[in-house]
Amino acid sequence: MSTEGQPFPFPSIYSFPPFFTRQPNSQTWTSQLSLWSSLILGYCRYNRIWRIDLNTAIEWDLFSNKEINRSLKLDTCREILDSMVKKGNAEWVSGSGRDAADKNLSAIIFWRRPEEWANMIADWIDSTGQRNAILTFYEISDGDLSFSQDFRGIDATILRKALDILVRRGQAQIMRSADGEVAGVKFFGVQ
Amino acid sequence: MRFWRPIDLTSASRPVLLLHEVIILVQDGIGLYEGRYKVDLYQSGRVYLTTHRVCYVDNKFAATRSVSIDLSLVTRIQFSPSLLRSSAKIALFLVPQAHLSSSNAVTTPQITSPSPVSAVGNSTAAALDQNISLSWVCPICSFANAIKVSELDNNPPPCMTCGVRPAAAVLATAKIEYLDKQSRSIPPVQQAGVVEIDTGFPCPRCTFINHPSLRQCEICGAELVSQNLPPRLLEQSALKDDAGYSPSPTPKLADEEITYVKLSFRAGGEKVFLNKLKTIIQGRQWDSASIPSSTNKHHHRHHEQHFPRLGIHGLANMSAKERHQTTELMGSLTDLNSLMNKAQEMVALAESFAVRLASAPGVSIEAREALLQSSEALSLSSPIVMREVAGSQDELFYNELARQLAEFLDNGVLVREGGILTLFDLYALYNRARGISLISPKDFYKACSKFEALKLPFRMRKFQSGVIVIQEAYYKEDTVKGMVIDYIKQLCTEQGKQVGITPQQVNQHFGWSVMVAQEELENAENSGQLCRDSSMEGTRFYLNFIVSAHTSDGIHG
Repeated sequence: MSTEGQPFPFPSIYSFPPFFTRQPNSQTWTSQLSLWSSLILGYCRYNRIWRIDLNTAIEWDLFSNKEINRSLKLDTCREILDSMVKKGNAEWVSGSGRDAADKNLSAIIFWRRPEEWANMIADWIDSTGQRNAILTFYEISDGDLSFSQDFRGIDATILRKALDILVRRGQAQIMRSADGEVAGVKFFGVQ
Repeated sequence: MRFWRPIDLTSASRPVLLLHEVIILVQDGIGLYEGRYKVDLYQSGRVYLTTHRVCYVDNKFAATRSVSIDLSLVTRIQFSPSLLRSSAKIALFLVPQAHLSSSNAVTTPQITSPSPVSAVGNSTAAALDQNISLSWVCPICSFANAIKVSELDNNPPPCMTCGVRPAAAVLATAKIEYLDKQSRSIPPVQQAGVVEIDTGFPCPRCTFINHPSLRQCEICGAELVSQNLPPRLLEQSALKDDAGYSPSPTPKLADEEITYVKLSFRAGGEKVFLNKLKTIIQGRQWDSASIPSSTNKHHHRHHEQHFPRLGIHGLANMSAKERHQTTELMGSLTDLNSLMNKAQEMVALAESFAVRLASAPGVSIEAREALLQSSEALSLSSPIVMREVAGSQDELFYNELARQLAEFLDNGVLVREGGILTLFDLYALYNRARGISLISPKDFYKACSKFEALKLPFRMRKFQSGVIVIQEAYYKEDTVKGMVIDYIKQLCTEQGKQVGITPQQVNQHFGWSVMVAQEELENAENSGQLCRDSSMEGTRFYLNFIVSAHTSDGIHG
């Protein structure tokens, strides 16, 4: 999928210095937020990035433009992700009981919505004739058959969300092992 | 107007002063009279009492209705306090020949203007010029009031002396009398057609033929009515019989020699004005053109002597010492006064140098500028406005202060600052120019807030951060924003890319102070026209490419 070696083509706004400053004017800020949101989604889709951990991500070329020597502040970055979470384009991964400052540092980016993933998996099951088969999560994300699929290497959390949607539709069922852990998923196919 | 002459005004509608002339007092709400009659259109204005003149500046039409009268023409002052509803007045009796020499006296359509009445026989009330003034006699105080024909029919003004409104019959009489007088004043050629006038008037009551110049019947005392009066006037004259009183004789208007003018004080303040006026007239400053500066020559050191401080002798010594200190204090105050006089001389000298230098070729520009600035630093072009000038009226003081500030700004101060100046910068500049008797920030602020009300070409603007600036009135917010944005666009096209500017650049380009520049940039940012780029190098302002990129969805392009 990803064109190896070729970096993400950044839009022209990326080299506009004020783009990296949080704008005090609320109207400008709204525009800025939505520009950033589409930039992040585009960047993640291009590079197949499933989650952003702000501790490391702040160093990425996404958030800092070396050419114009500008980079986004961590607070501003968090604010942008926050707005994406509100719009349903991302979700915070709750920190494992650490202090508040470390909270909201890692986010899953839905560059496709869970519903879209669910549809895609269902179509894939249909087209590969795996109805009524039981698959492990690993087989879906990293199995041989899913090699050329868009959801190759999908983040476990997103996959679980997509499968939950299929379960709700009655198209799949989560199988658990004897000790209660999720072992795999059985697909029923479309009635 | 026979005595009042037009005067020049400054840009801030204050009279241009003569050499050594100083404004002593300003009084608002003044109406002018010549003789006993109001001068039309000159009924609401400020009067500046200076050492040389009394200047009237109209509140609404300052440019056209500003006149003055020289105090040197005044022979006598008469004060009449307010009575019932008439305001207090000060009458200035003038040298009789004063108006003869005045070739450039103001002329207004007035009492003496001839009417288009050709003959009594065919003149109607409608044919009367609406601007002609008639006179009517108040039946209560027997004062002869002037009234316009146009005011006769609807809501005539009350008597000027006692404030009682006239009955319709009284006004009708006035009109008849006026027509009567016209009939007598028309030239003989025109009068040939109405010969029967000479035969006299028959009395309407006893039919006695009276002499034409009589107004009342010689026999029975009834009012005489001209035979050729139009029917409308006849009806009105009939009303007169019902009124049941006979008015006292009316003085003739045009024949009267006006020997005085009056100022009517509608807003009070007449006492202070009168006192000042008396002092000025006694002082006769216009005679002594320049006041000799009287430096304290008798100032000599007082040798301290040690006397016993006990007993009566000691007490006497103490009081003598105190007296001496007081006189010394007074002496130093005189010194201060003479210093002020010297300062004024210095200003005059600097100004004369400036004028000479401006015309002289071969003088370096630096020298000119230095001299110009020094003369500005020395003083204002006009004498400073003191609180005493306006007496106890705060409003008037602020108005005058605002006018002087406007003159000060107009002198090139604002142009040098790029058209925008913060309030405290102006405060410092202005107080430095005043040199002495500085004004308080509160008074200053009040004066500045008067700019718009007085229609001066400046206005005060408050930024969102609370900074207040004074700027030219045509510098609307959008104009300033437009100037800044045009400047950035110009830079962008010059360099071929998006360029941000700092407040310092704006300061250098427009000459505004950095603070004002910052405020203006933030103002444009608040309206969404600019956006900021904060980095280690400081804050730069760019055209708002963010919003335009968002609306045109440039990110996918």
